[in-house]
Amino acid sequence: MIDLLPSEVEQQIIDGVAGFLAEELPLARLRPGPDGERSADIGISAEQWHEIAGLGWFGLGIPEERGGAGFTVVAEMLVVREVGRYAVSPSISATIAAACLAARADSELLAGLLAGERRVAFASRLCAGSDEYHLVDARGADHLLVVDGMQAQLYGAAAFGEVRPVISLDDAVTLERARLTAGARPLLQEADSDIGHRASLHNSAQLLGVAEGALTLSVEYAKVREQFGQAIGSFQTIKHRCADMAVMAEAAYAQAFFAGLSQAGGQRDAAYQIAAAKVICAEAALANARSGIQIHGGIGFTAECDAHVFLKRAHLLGQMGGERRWVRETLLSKTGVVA
Amino acid sequence: MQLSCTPEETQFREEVRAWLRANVPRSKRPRTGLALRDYDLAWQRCQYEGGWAGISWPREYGGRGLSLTQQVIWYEECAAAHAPVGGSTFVGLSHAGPTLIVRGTEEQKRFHLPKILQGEAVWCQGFSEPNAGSDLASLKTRAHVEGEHLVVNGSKIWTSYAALADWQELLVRTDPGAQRHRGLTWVICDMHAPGITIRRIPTLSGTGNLCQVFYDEVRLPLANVVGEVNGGWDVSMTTLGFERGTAFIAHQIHLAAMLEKLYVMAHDLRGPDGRLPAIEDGAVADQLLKLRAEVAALRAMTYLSVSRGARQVVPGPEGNIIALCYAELSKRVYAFAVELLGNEALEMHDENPDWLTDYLDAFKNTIAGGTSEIRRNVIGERLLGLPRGGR
Repeated sequence: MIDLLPSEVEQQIIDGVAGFLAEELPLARLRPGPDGERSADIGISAEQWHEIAGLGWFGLGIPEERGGAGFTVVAEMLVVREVGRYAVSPSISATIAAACLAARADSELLAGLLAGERRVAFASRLCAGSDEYHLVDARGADHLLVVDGMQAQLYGAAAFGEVRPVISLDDAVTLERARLTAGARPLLQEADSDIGHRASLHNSAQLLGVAEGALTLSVEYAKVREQFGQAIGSFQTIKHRCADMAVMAEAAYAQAFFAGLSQAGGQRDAAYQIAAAKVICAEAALANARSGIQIHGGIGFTAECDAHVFLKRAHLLGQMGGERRWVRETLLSKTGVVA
Repeated sequence: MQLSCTPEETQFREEVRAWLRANVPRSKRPRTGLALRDYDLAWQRCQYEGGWAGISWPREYGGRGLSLTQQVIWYEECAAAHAPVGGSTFVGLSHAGPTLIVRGTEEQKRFHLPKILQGEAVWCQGFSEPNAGSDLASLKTRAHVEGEHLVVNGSKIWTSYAALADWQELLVRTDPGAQRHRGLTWVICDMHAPGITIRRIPTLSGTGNLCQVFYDEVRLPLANVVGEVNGGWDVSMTTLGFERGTAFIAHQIHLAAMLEKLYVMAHDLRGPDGRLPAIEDGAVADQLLKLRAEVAALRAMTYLSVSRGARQVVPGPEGNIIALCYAELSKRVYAFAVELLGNEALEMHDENPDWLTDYLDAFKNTIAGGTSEIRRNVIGERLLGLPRGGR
């Protein structure tokens, strides 16, 4: 039995998350005000973070006996896909993944994460073998999650030194550069790669949200923007670009969730499917974001239009996770497609 | 969402695998001519005798009436067993048969369906014309009623296997005064009827199955009309809906198998520098991993289609997404094969003619059954809701 469409319960999760984000953290928060300056208040507030915890987002994939909702990574992906669509902090994904890690080992930490008392952000290694990291939207984070070669390690924030802020290409998040202190020991470390795989699936799902967000924005604009006396979406050049974006988004959706189901079901080829999802989702997000800017024309070049947000988020997510080499090796391995 | 395998499905897979292992033809399939027809019909007859004919057809018409998931299993196992796919039986099994099941009269069904399943008849399509390709509704081959017959005059083109076919799904204009889509009729044409001449059209791939068909006062019984006279557009859309539905499962799985062959080849052949295996070359490896990811996604998209199919009665325009994706991707896979072969690709010798022919043949994938451009129009208008405009 194969079903890649959301069930009723899954649709409720999607609607709940999208409804909350549209209300609390709409893309409009990222637009400049009348003075040309953007509000400094674009991140997730402490109050909102608690509300999100109360909605149960952090424990969706955790067994019920550990205080979660007992779903799988697929439900987590449904949440972070919307997070990608609204260019909200990847720390939601980091906290979900950290909670899954804590659920196996540390009840106190788990309770703190599920209650919204503690925040986790990603520390993304600049390149293999380096001790330098990007801390993504990590201000106020208690812990940092490193996903490196599909192994996850959770550190206390103090494990990173020489922290200096840098100007983030994706300015919907803060970015810092830091060094992992020599000899720093992780609070938690996984033996297998389940959390690493989860984080990669989260990353793909966020990229999917970006690809879909760019598609929706562009199609809606192509329906109302008129030139030569007609909606630009009636011209084949624009229509075909939109169609190509729809194809990319559908491929990303299908592969991301097929990979998620493979992981949840412990399929032999789960790692291969997850690696393929990363490639497909990253490409869909970037290509759709770029097309989105072009379809909007002049306004697409401005910060007053949301099109650029998707481009920058696609770059950020594409680099995160440190799994580039792993993706390559996995997709070129002999244990490829199993029929 | 779910991905699970019931014990029944596992057992079904084992049954299929065992039967295919014992029955898949060992000899190579001829590319053209009567030898191709005989080969395809023999394989169809073998499936019928084994009880596997018409796996997606309802039981009441002699099919297996299997679930979509079982169909996927069937096609996956066929690919693993290197069973022949498509070919001259495709139109009968995937177009004409399903269309007759939904729209045909009892008499038409009783006569034609068993012949298709038992491997006794080859069908071809008769939609496109020299001046009606993407703009199918502008077709001009006309037919008028004379007593109990339709009398057909005109020409159809790009008809695969016309020279091997017994029957044709023919779309003709029966009311010249009516606007475009109205005034068309879908009729079963006997390809051996007097007044039919067939011209073979040489193709760029050298495969010789493409034809143009001419009709000179061809008389077809009115009883051969499927649906209503002047109601043919509707019937033809039913036909094309089947093409974009489950028919794609087999194509997708075959393409995945071909890419895995290329993966093996990339380890055996030398790369551009002439020393290391091709896979050690960065550019080759890049292309291969990208194609493997894309083929994986195409498989996931097939599962998404199957998921939709389980919830829809009539296939929606979503089928155009996977059709477009498959068509474009298949061309890239075969282009990669040619690149991998290097200078060897310039020689049509015994070792590689299949790759070269497949490469050249794949150019039809973005044209036949709706060009990529037409598919993008349909996706834009019917799926995304963009306004119709100039073409």
